[in-house]
Order: sequence, then C-alpha cells, then structure tokens
Amino acid sequence: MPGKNVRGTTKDRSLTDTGAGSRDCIDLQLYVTDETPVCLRAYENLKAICRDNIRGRYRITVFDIKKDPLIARREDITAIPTLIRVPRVPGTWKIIGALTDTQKVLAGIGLQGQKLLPVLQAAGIPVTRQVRR
Amino acid sequence: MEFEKIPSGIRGLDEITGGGLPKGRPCLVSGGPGCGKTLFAMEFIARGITDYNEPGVFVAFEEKIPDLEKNFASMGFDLKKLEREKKLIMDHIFIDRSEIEETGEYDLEGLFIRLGAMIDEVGAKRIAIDTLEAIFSGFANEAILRSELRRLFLWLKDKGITAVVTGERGDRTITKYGLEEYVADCVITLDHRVTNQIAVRRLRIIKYRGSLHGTDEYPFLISSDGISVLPITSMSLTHKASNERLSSGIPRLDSMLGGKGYFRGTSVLVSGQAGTGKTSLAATFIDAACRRGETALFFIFEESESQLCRNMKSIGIDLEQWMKKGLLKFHAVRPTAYSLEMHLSMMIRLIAEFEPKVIAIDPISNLYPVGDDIQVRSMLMRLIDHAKTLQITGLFTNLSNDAETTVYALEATEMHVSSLMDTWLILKNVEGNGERNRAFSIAKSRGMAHSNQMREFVLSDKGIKLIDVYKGSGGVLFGSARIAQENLVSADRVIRNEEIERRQRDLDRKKRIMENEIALIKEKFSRDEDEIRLLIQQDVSREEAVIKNARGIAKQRGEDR
Repeated sequence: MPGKNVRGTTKDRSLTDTGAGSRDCIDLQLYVTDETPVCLRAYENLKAICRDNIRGRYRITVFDIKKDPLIARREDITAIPTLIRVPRVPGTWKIIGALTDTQKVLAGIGLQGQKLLPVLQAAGIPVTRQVRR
Repeated sequence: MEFEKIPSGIRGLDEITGGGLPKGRPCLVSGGPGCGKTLFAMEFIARGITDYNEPGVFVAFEEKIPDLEKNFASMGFDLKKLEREKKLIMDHIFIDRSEIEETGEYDLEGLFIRLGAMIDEVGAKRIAIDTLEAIFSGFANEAILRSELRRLFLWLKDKGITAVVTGERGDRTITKYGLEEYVADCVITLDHRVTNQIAVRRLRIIKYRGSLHGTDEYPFLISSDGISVLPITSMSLTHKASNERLSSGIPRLDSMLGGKGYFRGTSVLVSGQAGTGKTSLAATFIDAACRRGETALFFIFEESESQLCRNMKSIGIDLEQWMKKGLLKFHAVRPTAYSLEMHLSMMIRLIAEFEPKVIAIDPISNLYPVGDDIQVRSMLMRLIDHAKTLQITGLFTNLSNDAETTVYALEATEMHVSSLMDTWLILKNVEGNGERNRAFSIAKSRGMAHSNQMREFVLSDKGIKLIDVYKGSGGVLFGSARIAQENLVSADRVIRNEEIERRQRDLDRKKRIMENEIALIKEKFSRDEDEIRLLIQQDVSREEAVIKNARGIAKQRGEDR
C-alpha cells in the first residue's frame, strides 16, 4: 500500500501538500492489520474524505497492530479498522469500519456541522475551511 | 467419551465435575449481578498459577485493574506479585459505545491481537474473560459480533487454552446475549437468592459435554478466602463402624447402655421438652470426653459460652478448665445469622481445624426457622455423615414440641431426625402430685442391648443422677411421691425386721430354757449316778470282803487236813 508505514512506528508519512508538522494540522491515526481488503478500503476512503474536505490540513498515520500489539493496548483498539483523531478532543470519537459513510467520518473527527465549530474553536483547533457537503 | 480435565481451582467444584473443567475448551459462567462470576474467573486463573503452575491471562471489560488488585488482595490473592513474576497478565479493555461510530464493515481483530500478545507474553494456559458480553454493549452490529465470537472460541480452542468466560444472566436465556450458543462444552450458572430473609447461593452445571456430572443445584459460599462449593460429604454410607465405647459421663447411663456407653463415631440424639436437662446431658458428655484427654467442639445456638459455663457449674461441671487446657472449644452463634449452608461450612471448617473427637450441638431445633424441614434434615445428614467419616461422636439436643405431657406419649421429632441418629435418649417432664419431675429413657440404641427402664433424671450439684423409679401396684412414681413411697417401704421393712428380731429372740430364749432344764436333769442324774455307784461300790466291796473272808476261813480250815 503506497504511503503506508511498514514498521508500524509513528514515522510520519505525510500525504498532504502543505508541510508536515504545521500547527493547525489534523492528525488522524488509522489502525489496521495487514492488508485485508477492508483495511485497504478504509485507507482509500479516508484519503478521499480528507482530500475532499480538509485538503492540506491533515496527516494520516497508519499503524499495523499486528506488528506492534502494544499500540493496540495503548489506544484501546478492539475493532479493526479504527480511525482516531489525535489529540482527542471533545466531540470526536473512534470510527470503526471501512469508513464508507463520509458524514460519519467527518462527524467523528470533529469536522461536521456548525455545532461542532464552537467546540473546536474553544479547544483551540483552527478550522480554516468549511466542510463541503 | 471423556474430555481431559484440568483442576478448576475452585474449592469443591472438581468433586462435582469429576475432575475439573474441560481442558483447552471454553467454559461459560453465567449469573446475575453479584453472583460471584468475576470471583470465579479470578480464582480459576489465580489458583491455576499458584497451585498448578499454569500461567494465565485475565481480561476485564468492566473493572479496572487496580480495583481488581485491591479487591482480590483482601481475599488473599496477591495479584501484583503474580504479575511481577510474569505468571499473570491482566488487561482492562474499555469499550464505550458513545465513543464509537460504526461505518462499514469491521472485525474484532484488535481484540484477538491483544489477547494473543498477552497469551504469548506469559505462556498462558488459562484465560478468563469477564465479561464477554461487554462487546455487545460496545458495538452495534450483532451479525459481525456473533461471527467474531464464533471465531474467538475456535481461536482459543486452537491455541489449546482453557477459558472461563462470564456472562450476565438473561431473562429467558442463560446469558443475556446468548453466549451459550458458542460455548457448547461447559456451562455453569451461579444463583443468588434470598430465602426466609437469608441469602443463599447456588451453583448449577447446566451443560458439561462428554462428562458425567451432577445436575443438581449445589450450595456454595463466598467467604473471606473465596468460593467454596460445599463439600459433597460422602453420601455413600461407606464409613467404618468402630467397636470402641465412650462413657457418657454418667455411670448409671453407661450401664443402661449395654454396660459401656456410646459407640465411638455414632450420633446421639437427646430430645426433650423445655427445661428437662438436655444441655446438661450434653455438657456432661463433653466433660467426660475432655477428662479422657479428647478434644471436643461445642456448638451452641441458644446461649452464650459464658452463660452455659456458668449454668453447668451449678451441676458441678467445670468446662472452663478444659477450655484453658485447649481441649474444648465453643462456637456460639445465632442460627438466624446465617444460611444453613454457611452454618454447615463453618462447622466443617472448625472441625477440620480443631480435629475434635467429639462434638455436641445444642439445640438443632433452633435451625428450623432458618430452613424448611427438608433442608434442615439434609444439612444434618451431611454433618452427621461427615462426622462419621472422621469417626467423631456427635451429640445433638433437640427441643421437642409435642403437646403431650404424659410420660407414655410417643416422641415425634420434626421430619424424623431421629432416624439419622444411632442412639436416642428421651427426657420428659412428669407432672403429678403437685410437682414436676423428669423422666429419662432410652428410645433406641443401635448395636447394643440397652435398658428399657425409665429412670428419674435428677440434676444435683454433683452432676446428673439417674435414680430408679418406684414401680408398684400404685403405678410409677417420681419425685417426692417416690420418696414418700420409698419411705413407706423402708418403714415397712423396719417393722418387719423388728418382728423378725423378736421371733429370733423368742427362739433363743426358749432354747436357753430348754438348755437350762437339760442341765438340771443332767445334774440330778449325775448326783443319782454317783450315789448309786457308791452303793454299788459298797456292795462290791462287801462282796469281796465276804469272799475274802470265806477264803480265809477255808484256808485255815484246809491247812490241817
């Protein structure tokens, strides 16, 4: 899979065209195992969602828990695939599955709907682009 | 076909299951809240490590690890130490539905990987999952969950790990989410109900494929050191019978019992109405045992230890001296404080710790409010069985509640407890003549010829006395009537004795008179005799003189021829 970590470490593999590590970047972690079809699909879906909605403002890191089980324990991963936004903010949650529903994904990472905006702003997360439906 | 079994680590369970839990297979433990599922799972793992050297994994979905460590430390399980020694690994898996959004297909591989890592880390042979149903409250897609569950159990079986999985009891199903579908090999339910205001715990093996198992409900207890399924005391009636005899403490009673007393290892029932002296009989028995140097346990359900000791002093029995010597131990408790199973378990445990040769229980009738007739009888049966297996002689007192007060009424004990006993002594109140007395008799005593006579039972300050009753044409008399009759009888006897003496004196006198008369006659006769002999002598002398003269003359005349 292009762009995927091989070792399962937190080595960055940036997919955005803005510089990695910028302060107002949304960090997304995707936990998968191996290269099952579901995991591949999830990755592709996630890429698409991010490209469409938060272009330039995201960074995806993929972790293979089979190679590093301790990560699963640390982040309390039970279902695969799981998507988490870090650092955890109020109003976001874990999204599991192949990430087929864009709305759910965006809501889960805190990017959907006006209601969330004040929450995110209060938490100091800059959101410079409105989400396109 | 029998599966191989591994010891479960739960006290008493292996006896019911014929060896333990099926090896390498999952066992489902279901029960309501507070039934002891987590404890069961933890004991399975912890004892698996400490007693059988099988490392284990404990996966908790509901409790945090520090809480578990603290709770189980108070039960004597040092989980931290086991973790340090890398024999135990615990993990808390937190699944919060509000934290999860599902979109698309997923599986629970994360869970598998975590379990696998833990198993590999300690080389686990046992795993406990408490409670697996948490995944149902965490994830919404039941189809996925169920297929993953199936996969999980197959996966565990493949790894050869014996698993204990807990589940919350459902309304109509064994577990709320039907885990029993996937765990086909062994299903145990725990139950916790309140009967007669007393909490009672029961365990039942619903399914144990490939093994003979008891299908009954078995009572169990949760005490300060974990679960104990109550010992199935050998209900097979194979205990040995001893020929040794023990004194009851009352010599007269011993002689009524075939001359020697009770058989060792038997059960003795003392039943009687209120105030007849049952406790005193029990105390005398205990006292006699301690005197012989035997250890004794006295279970009292009615009085306190010091009250009983004080009361027994009034009949000359000092039980405190045996306590000081360590030969006697009391266990006083209100029967309604615990369930019957708890009582039985406490008694069995005390017996195991103290190893008495005799026990006394006073009174067993106080157990009736705690359970119904059948339960009390069953509990007594188990206790007596247990005692007999250990060759302990047991004395049980029972307050009988028959309304009959006449001496000849039949005793009826509740649920025929008397049939469990080898020797049955009956005490009755006898009212009559303006007073109350006590009658004692032996209703039965297996294996020996015993007296069938009724005796009067008297408590004196020198102990218990058994006195012969008066039997005569006036009927059987007790108490002061007996004493009065005895006085009469002895007065009679005195008169008769005097009469005899008088006649004897008469005879003697007559004899003396006769002897005097004979003496007189003899004397007279001897005087006469003397006189006559004298006369005879004179005659004889004269005769001799005449002859001498005649010869003299003849000689003179003849000389000159």
